[in-house]
Amino acid sequence: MDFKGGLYMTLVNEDMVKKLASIANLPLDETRIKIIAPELEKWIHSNNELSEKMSAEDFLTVTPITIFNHPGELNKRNTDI
Amino acid sequence: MTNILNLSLVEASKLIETKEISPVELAQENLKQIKKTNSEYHAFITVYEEEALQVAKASETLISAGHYLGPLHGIPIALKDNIAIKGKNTTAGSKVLENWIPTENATVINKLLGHGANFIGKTNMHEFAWGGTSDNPHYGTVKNAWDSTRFPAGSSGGSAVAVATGSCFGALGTDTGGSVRLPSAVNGIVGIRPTIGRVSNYGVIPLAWSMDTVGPMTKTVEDCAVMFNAIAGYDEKDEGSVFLATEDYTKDLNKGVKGLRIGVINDFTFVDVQASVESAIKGALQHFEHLGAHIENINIANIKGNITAQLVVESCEPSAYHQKWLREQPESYGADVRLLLELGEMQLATHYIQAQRYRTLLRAELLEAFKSVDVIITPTLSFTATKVGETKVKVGDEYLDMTEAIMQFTGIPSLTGLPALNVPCGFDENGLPIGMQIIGKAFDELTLFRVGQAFESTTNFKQKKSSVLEFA
Repeated sequence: MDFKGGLYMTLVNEDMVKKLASIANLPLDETRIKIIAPELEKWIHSNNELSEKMSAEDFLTVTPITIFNHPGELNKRNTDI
Repeated sequence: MTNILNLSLVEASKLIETKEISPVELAQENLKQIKKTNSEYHAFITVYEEEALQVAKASETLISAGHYLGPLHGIPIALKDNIAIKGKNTTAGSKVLENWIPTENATVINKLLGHGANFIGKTNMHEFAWGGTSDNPHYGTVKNAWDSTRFPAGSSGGSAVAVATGSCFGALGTDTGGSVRLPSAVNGIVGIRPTIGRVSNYGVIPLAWSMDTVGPMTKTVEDCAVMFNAIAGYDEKDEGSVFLATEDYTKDLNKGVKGLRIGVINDFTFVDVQASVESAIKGALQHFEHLGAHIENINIANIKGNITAQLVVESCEPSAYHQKWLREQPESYGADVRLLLELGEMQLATHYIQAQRYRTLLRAELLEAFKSVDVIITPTLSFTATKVGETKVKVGDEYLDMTEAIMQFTGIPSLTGLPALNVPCGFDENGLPIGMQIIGKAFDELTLFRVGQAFESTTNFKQKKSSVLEFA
């Protein structure tokens, strides 16, 4: 987590963006990296805050909304239309 | 007779049915209006001039012979350019797809054709629907119908402006995070985001699969319900489509709101909202009370986090869809969309999953709230139309980031898959329209139209027209 005692730490620098892009096999020149780094920095802090919120004990049973409920099969079996 | 362009869809269709007006006249008037306005407003990417007139003539022949297909027969309709029409360019507002010709119609296209609609053209939009300004680097910046120095919101900006300038009688937009409701709000028209799964997405170029929907945009609530009747329903081609019977969405329009319970979310509805918007929404709530509805304050404990969750989902899913093109032709994208797609590649899987878990949490809290209320009302947008190109928006003494401010309210139904209707509810000190968002229970679009109609029919906001339409 980046949130320590109320103080944010800087998480993202240009070198890190370069490495992330390389891992994702996304070719980026230096200009792109310079544009992306400060934006990503803003996003990551908010994302980590949300992650921290969702990691609270109260929410341990909350599942992602992406669970598969076989809508096609359900629809075929449902004749009430 | 009233200026044809000022007629609502339903008014025009009644005149067609009684043969007092011809579909050809309607198409001609709309085409004239497009010619007059499109160089300034850039609402259309493609105009089907010859074809729309041919279809209008064919409709006229059919109707004269007694084969009237219903309220959309011979009505000029505009379509957002991310909805596929067989044999017609479908660009999604992009350079990447500038030459793409679909080999099949989207399901909503087939449904509208079955009701006799006449397609007048494809509308401009934010590139690939990934943004809320409709400032398109490839097909021109769409301008607000009420003030062409201001933004029309987005991403379905072209569809909203087409309706508000009288260039068509109704339009289809798509709504992932607010793309039907936001441009409807700032252009003073009505627009609905359906419950997810209620309207087929088949043949629509995706933005974020788990939140994408298609919705009508019109001058009035009744027009919107009529178009919704035509496009709602199960589609086996769309795996997310829900197998559930549809209703006649116009049937409760005149039922009123007496006894209905309207929820207002504590510590949220009027936070970071411009004064004119706050005043318009409070005025609307008072009006509903006067009509016999009960206003209830409700708590949504975990509403904070909604903007982040929306940004994460709306960035990761498009970035997955665009991976190949982003690597092969990154220069084909506009600067803002390219940056968003690159950022989406750099989110962590855990960020995405936590956002999806947050959606479950938020949905559960809204479902709980809906045990005590029938609908929830918020502003659609916390501010009125800003000048074109602005990236910050002034609320009180603060300047807020546009991307985040624009998602403040529309993200709630988008994340939770619930339906929401924008209805005009006032004007700011510059005469710019303000919209309220009415959020409903899943698959309860009927109540949204009922509430919207109760408000619209007892106020005079729809009487005021954009200057383009007023002087047409």
